[in-house]
Amino acid sequence: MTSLHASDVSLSLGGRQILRSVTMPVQSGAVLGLIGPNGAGKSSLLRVLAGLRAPDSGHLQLNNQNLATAPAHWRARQIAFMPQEVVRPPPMSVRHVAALGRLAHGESGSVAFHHPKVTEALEKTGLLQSADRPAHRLSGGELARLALCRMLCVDAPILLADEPVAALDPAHALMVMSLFQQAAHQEGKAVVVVLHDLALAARFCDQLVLMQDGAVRAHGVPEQVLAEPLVRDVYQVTTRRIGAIPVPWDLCP
Amino acid sequence: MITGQQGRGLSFCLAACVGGLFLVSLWHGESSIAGMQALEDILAGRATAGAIILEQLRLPRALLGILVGGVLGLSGATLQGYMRNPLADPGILGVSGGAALGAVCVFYTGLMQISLVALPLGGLIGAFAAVALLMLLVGDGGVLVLLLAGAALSGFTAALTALTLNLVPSPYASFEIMHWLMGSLTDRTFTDVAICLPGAVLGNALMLTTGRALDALTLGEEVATSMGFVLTGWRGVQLLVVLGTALAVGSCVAVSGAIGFVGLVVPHVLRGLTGYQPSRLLWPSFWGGAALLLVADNVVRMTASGPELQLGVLTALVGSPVFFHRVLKLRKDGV
Repeated sequence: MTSLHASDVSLSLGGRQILRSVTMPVQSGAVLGLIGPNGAGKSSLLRVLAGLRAPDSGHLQLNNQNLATAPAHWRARQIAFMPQEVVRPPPMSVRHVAALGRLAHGESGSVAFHHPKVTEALEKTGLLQSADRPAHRLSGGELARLALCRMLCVDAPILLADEPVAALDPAHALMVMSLFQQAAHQEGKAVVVVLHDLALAARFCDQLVLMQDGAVRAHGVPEQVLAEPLVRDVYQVTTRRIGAIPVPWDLCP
Repeated sequence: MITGQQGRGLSFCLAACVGGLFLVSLWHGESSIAGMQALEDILAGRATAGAIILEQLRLPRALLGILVGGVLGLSGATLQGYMRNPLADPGILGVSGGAALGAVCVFYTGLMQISLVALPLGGLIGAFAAVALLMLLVGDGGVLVLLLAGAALSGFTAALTALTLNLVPSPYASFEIMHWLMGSLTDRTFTDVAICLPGAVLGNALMLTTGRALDALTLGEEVATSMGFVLTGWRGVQLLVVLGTALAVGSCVAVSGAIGFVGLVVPHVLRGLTGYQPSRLLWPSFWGGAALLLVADNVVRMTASGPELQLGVLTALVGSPVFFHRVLKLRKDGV
């Protein structure tokens, strides 16, 4: 069982407080959705969880190890990260770019290229047919799936993804979220995804963390966190329920 | 898809080319000597004219051609990979400017009259001073800080070099300085090789360790960091890149003067042949740079009747059209 725990984490950038005493456990076998309005600190929290940015205060514990002092190569095998902005890769093949994920294990060249995890990840993300296509010619949605594929190639027990479905059409967004759910429920991975789509958050996440002004406003199962008064207060929108799923409907008067 | 074997094959082919060009550089020159006889004389310890020309003039010149060309090609590939910018070249860090300034100061102060070694040593001191200043300026900063610091340093050293040229009392001295700044391998000796070698070897070794990190950086800095690569700080990839290129390029410019376009063009031409993977581009760029400089130096020696063409002028003349071609290809294909 892998566990990642943030306790009392605070961060400020350029004199502005980005995170305020955030405490949050990340558990294996579950998808945790980070939601909240723009500028709430979701991406910053994800970077802190990934060990990419050291917090000003607070503590991050990864499997009983302090994340701040853990060796970078060990951390890289425990946590796979997908950033919000996917960099357009050079004109290598899709499989080639995916195989770069194996660098986290110190593998490169043909060992990485022919690794079974790479083929598996290409298949899962629907890119196996495009494996030989040049990656720089992919559409925005395909690039996002390639970034996800690269992350899956790391084969880490913790997956952190920053808005992984922002560039995707509904069908591919559902496919990607199903993949995360499958990774959590069937493979026992701990998954944290930053989402703006409340419907997807309600449908696929086991737990939601609602952030506002750098602090955790609510943490719990989707039904609790997406309750009308809370969403109205944090997002300044009214919602309507379509089935069990709340859909933002109008700006608050 | 380019496999590792094909990448190594390219390196091997280019290295073989360099070997051939090295032999041409030894055998071919202004005065015709019997190559085999001269070699026998050297081995037998006979100081004949042929032996002296081969050992004291052509051998160090050819060795420097490999060393300087290789360093320029490799550092161009490393910097372009690290900055993910195909326009990055060894001059971008301002270290070549520092070496040029150091050498120009030696001209200006007349230290050249005391010893011939003063000139490359001055260049080396200038390069190392520029490296130290660059490291202080950059600190923990990332690629953007490095680019800006390099641009500032380049501008500053160019201004000081221009100031020195401005203040030089004799027109002959300024002519000599201008000539040196254009870059050349003419009349270099084993002392120059000895001055250049330690920094070049150490710098190359540092650059060659960065291959995997450069590959990871094609996915962006955040992803590279998440995959376990430390980019900035004292244990970071940036330090290896900066120190490696600066040591190697500084040491080379100190003995050869500024030779442009090799570091820019060679990685550009070879990139497509290495599958656009930065780690696979490093060794081929070393051999490609060495081959280009040896070819250019041989051309310079062939046109030796009349005023000798400076090596840096020729590489710029050859390099720019290749670059124009790349620009047009980029516009057409987006690659």
